[in-house]
Amino acid sequence: MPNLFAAKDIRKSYKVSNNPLKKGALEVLQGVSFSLNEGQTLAVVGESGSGKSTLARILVGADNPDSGELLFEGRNILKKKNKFEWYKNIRMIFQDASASLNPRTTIRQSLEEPLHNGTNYTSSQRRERILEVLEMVGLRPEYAERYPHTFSGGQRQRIAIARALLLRPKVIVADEPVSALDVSVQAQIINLLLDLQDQLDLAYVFISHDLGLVQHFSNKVLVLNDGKQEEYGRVTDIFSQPKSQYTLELLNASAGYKKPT
Amino acid sequence: MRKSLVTANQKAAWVIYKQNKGALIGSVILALILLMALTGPWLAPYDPAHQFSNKVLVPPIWNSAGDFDYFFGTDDLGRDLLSRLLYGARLSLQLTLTVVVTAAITGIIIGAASAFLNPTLRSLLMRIMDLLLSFPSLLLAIAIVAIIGPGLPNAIYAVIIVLIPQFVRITQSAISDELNKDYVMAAKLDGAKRFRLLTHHVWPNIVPALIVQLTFSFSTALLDIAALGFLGLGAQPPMAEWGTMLSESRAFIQFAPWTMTLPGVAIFLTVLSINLVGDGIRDALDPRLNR
Amino acid sequence: MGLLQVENLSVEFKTDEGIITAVDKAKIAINAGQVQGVIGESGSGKSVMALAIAGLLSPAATMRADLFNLDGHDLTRMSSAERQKIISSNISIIFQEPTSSLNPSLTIGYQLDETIRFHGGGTRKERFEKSLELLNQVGIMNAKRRYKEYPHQLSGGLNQRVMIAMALACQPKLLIADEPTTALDVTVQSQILDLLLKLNEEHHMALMLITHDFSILSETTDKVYVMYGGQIVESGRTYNLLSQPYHPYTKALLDSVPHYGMHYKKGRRLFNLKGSTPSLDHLPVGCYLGPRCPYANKKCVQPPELRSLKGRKVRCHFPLLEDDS
Repeated sequence: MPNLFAAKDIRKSYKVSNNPLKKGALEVLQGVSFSLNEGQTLAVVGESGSGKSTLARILVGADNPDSGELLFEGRNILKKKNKFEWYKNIRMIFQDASASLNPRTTIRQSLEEPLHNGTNYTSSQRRERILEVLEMVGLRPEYAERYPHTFSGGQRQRIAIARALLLRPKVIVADEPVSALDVSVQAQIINLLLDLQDQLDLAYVFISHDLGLVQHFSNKVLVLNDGKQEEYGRVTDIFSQPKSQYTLELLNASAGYKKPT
Repeated sequence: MRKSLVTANQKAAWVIYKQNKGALIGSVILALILLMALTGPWLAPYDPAHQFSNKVLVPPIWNSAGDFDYFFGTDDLGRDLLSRLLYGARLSLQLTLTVVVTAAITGIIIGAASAFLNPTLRSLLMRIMDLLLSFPSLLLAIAIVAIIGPGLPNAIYAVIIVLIPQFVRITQSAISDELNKDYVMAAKLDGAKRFRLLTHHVWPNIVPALIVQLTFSFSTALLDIAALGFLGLGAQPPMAEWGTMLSESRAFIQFAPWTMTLPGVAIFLTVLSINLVGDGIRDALDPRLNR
Repeated sequence: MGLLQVENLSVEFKTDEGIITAVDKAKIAINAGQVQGVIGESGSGKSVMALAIAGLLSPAATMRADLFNLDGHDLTRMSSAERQKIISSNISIIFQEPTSSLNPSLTIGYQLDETIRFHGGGTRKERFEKSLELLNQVGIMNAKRRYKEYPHQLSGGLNQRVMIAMALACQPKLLIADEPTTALDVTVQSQILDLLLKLNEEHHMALMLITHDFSILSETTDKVYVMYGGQIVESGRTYNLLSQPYHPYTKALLDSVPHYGMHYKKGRRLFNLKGSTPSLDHLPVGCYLGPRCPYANKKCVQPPELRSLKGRKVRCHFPLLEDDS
């Protein structure tokens, strides 16, 4: 049986300059591969500029890779004409929830969007599904009528999670979902994501720079450094016996600050 | 889908607008001018074209030689200035409104359509717009009138053509700014097609920028139409148009200054009030100032 | 010897909605050469307190203190100009975003030179020598080359080093570092902290580290203040406070973040406080943590006082003592 979601040798580069006379491209991803099954979490770790956000965008279809394969239930979704199957099953949670919500529409209008485009629901069915999902993420039904700026950061991230859940996806790609939140609110969101994973057997691709969270949250880990896949494997193996020097440095730096002796 | 037009954001914007004294003064003046333009034909004591041949160049009533039958005095042909100003307000505002609305609709449609063009064509279109924008608006309008010939309809076409690039440019740049934002990407991943993205997600967010542009275009259009009239390229005598009135009275500025001052003040007050209102709207809708 | 003593420091802002108390009767004491930490989330008042101590509050703020002693001077009995002078020659501050604290259109050297000129100066050549020396002190290689470069040509870590060099120009007795490593990558974080501690040791310069992350405080600081809703809710020796927090909020801060290396079972739920950090214009009645606190009861509608408990200060009616837990 094929993996739920797998990437094979994903590569991406950007033009350095718009000037047609200048040659040269910045390789942001130099061959990334992984596989993931239901109920599993893959953590992608790396520092700023490692290409982890680009990878997230490619996985959800917001950006196209130069080469490589993305297999969802064994089929290459990059080759498919109808992208909506892809968008529906693999959903994204953005780092900055407030930027991912249209500031001039109510929460309900934002949540209607995926249902409007992806289902044949009647308006009362849509309403029902929205209420159902709001309850799953721990928000009150009347919040649907409010505008994004009236919510706290944690609530906005819950709304973003609700939006991701509406179409009953199998994979959720979360790009630093808690790094913009206060410490005491981070834990609520992490707990919520864990609860949802248990309930719905979701697979997560969890982009993070926080190794403490990764260790707590994930089964597999993929370490990116300047677009190169440094290491990939089970969290327990890699965190106890890193093979690459870079991973070791990252682990040491994350183990809390140690005074030089 | 959108049931109420007034959103929470707009309510907040109104609160900010009310705190702006300049904008409030501007709104009051503008409201008075609009009222005058609407009720002009009923307020005006005389037909603006009627010539009282024995009452030529009567000064306004605050002058000792003034005549109470002619509040603002009369011009060189004995026409009542108050009546001409009131009819002129109606004509000038009507022309300006036509020009701005036509230019705005055309410009916004071109600007929005350019979002669907391929990048090369789009940048070609934008360079053409930049070229048009690089001329001072009045100069360009004069050049166009010079080509298609003087007269009120041609002057209107000219001002419309001059205004269109501003709307194209601002629509296009606002749309391309918004298209790069996360919420648009999120909507795209929600399955929204490009047309729906523009109408449902991007459009509500660029409306404020367009409203601001609209108010400033209004004052440009008013000035340009009056200037063309003044130069004899727009409205032709005996039409009661403010610019034309200015031009006709040019010869009498020495001994009958009111004939020229009054239409000048009318233009000045209207443009000033529109600009004040525009400033107020811009400040109120500017998301960077949203508190 | 006491370098800085502040008692009942309050900072208020006037807004349309009324007066907001950003810092509520804070009490801080730092000895020469000591390293202290202030921890809190956004809106806890920690940054405002730092700005107040460094004399950098915006004119919209009003500041009051019963006691404000700096290096033997009583600042409460001075004109604001005199106060400013004493503060600026004794206290320096660095911020979270080094890149935005530097002027992008001026070279590193020019900005450093300007700071040195402000603090005494000397001839052009002396100032140049001093600049290079400062850049060397903060561990910048190729000081001569960097001197001519612009902030965008340097990485975030290097820019933070430049900020530290500028802070050192007045030879401060106290350096306040407001989230100095938050914007930096983890591997760079420890280098900056190393540098700060080295300077603390070599120059006997006291250090006040403001952060939201306990992991950088445990090894660096002697004493920690925990802030919430503009108040200090707990303070004490770092080791004791981290190993046995008395205040529920301190416990939440410690337990809601999984720390690397603590070997959690995958999927264990984290301890958390419900709700979110209250904004300063809508603080709850009584204990500010009350509505979020799992241990709260009726008594918590009374505002708790900061009281001494086993060598620590705690602002809680029901501190989490050993025998209770």
